[in-house]
Amino acid sequence: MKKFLKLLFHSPLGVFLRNILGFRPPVFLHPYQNQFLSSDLFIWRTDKNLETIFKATDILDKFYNLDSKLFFIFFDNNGKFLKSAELYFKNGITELLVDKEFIGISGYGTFCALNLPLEAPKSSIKVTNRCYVGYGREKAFSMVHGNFDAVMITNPHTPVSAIIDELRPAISDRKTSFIYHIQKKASPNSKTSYWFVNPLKRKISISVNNKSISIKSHGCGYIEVDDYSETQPHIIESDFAFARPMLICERNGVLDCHHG
Amino acid sequence: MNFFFHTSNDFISSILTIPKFQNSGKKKNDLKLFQANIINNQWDIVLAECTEDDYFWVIKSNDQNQNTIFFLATEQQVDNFRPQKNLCNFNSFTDTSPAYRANLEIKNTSESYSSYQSEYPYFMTQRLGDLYSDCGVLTTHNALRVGVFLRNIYLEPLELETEVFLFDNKTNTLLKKFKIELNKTCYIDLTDFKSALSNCYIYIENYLGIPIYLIDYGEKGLSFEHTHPPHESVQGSNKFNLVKKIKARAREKISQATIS
Repeated sequence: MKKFLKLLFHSPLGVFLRNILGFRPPVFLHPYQNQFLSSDLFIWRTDKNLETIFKATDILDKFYNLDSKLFFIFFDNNGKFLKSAELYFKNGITELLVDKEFIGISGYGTFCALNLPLEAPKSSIKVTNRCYVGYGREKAFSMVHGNFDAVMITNPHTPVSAIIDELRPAISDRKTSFIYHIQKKASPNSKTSYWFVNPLKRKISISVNNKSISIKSHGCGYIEVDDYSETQPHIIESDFAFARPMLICERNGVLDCHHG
Repeated sequence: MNFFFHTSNDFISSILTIPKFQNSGKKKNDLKLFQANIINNQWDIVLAECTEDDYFWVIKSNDQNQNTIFFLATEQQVDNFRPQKNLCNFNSFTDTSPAYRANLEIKNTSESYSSYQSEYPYFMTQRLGDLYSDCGVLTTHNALRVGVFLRNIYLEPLELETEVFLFDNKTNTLLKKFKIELNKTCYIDLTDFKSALSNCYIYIENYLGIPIYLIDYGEKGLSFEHTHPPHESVQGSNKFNLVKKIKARAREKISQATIS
């Protein structure tokens, strides 16, 4: 009986009913697709003399024996399309340096990286290539792995020219009251900022201890935390179902990036 | 439930900070922080040596706690545990969605620092599989020191030795074998291989654990992050079969190679 209920819970009918009734609606949507290629919505930074490094392994070759490439889409912090780029793998790995020269501006924004097959796959593929990014100066990068599956395409052989239009959230856009207590002890010795991305098609709102920002679709934003008079943990509130931030802490010019 | 641990050695110290609350804000006041060590082939569990405030427990690394594991439990749950037994699932307080986060901050001798979330889930303590990790995504040739902390927690109080293979995919060469032990935090220095690591993987038979890569840039910074296990890169009912094939291929390459 329990097994049957579990199957029903995750079935298309079950998901439909959960969404309609608002009873534990799914947060992540890609597990319910027949096939997909998903990506985090990573943050790039070239502000404050920072550079961003991105690294990935060739998941399609490794798991499905398919020749593939990485297709990148870059947005600015307001979610405006900046550029796309392609990269091929060498010995199963590739990396991309995002600096002012590459992106053309000093600032910050988001990007996604989709591991695309070079030919149409013969069977269903479901790829969650999490990848790794690092932030730093003078090529000293603090690395962090992908935070969550944010965006996806559901046809792995979508032509490159159509990918931007086909890109959709891999996470529910249902308006919710997300409350998240940061489980890290605040440090008065570090300058800490909480970074958020918006993979949805709508605007999202986020506040941390009463400091608020709104983020446009495919954009990003941050909230600096400078009040250490309270010993209580910081609380994030949002209308987005997974407003879990990346933390960037800076102490004596050294960056420490990790998930919050 | 989750266990927590340190990653320290002669040149890296660590500070482990464990929240007393879930990310929903819930607290359970009867939970205490315990530590466990293997003494005479048995788990020895006592209250942890730590400092604490209303929201966090803080434990600094020292020569005695490099291999110690930490966990939350009530006194009664620990009283019911008999030393000759294996570790058990004491409670579900740290099983949350989004995931419960502790913070493990490491520091080098230049005071550079980096953090990572150090949860070790109970389900991983129940089995011994094969560990596969691509080195290239979290290493660089552009650093003073490169290495990997390997942490295993196995529910039986065993300290068996096992071998780590460092394999170069580009040259199809087994670069080196290292010895590590179950239920310990082991550090492997990869600095001598840093120019080759972008094409390398590490492979360990009969061992599950977390590979956390260290990049030491001296006073410019540190990087400290783990690679994702292969099964997190794909989804679907056949994902574990796909992972099995990758591991079998990795094992076969190693068995056919000789040390360079």
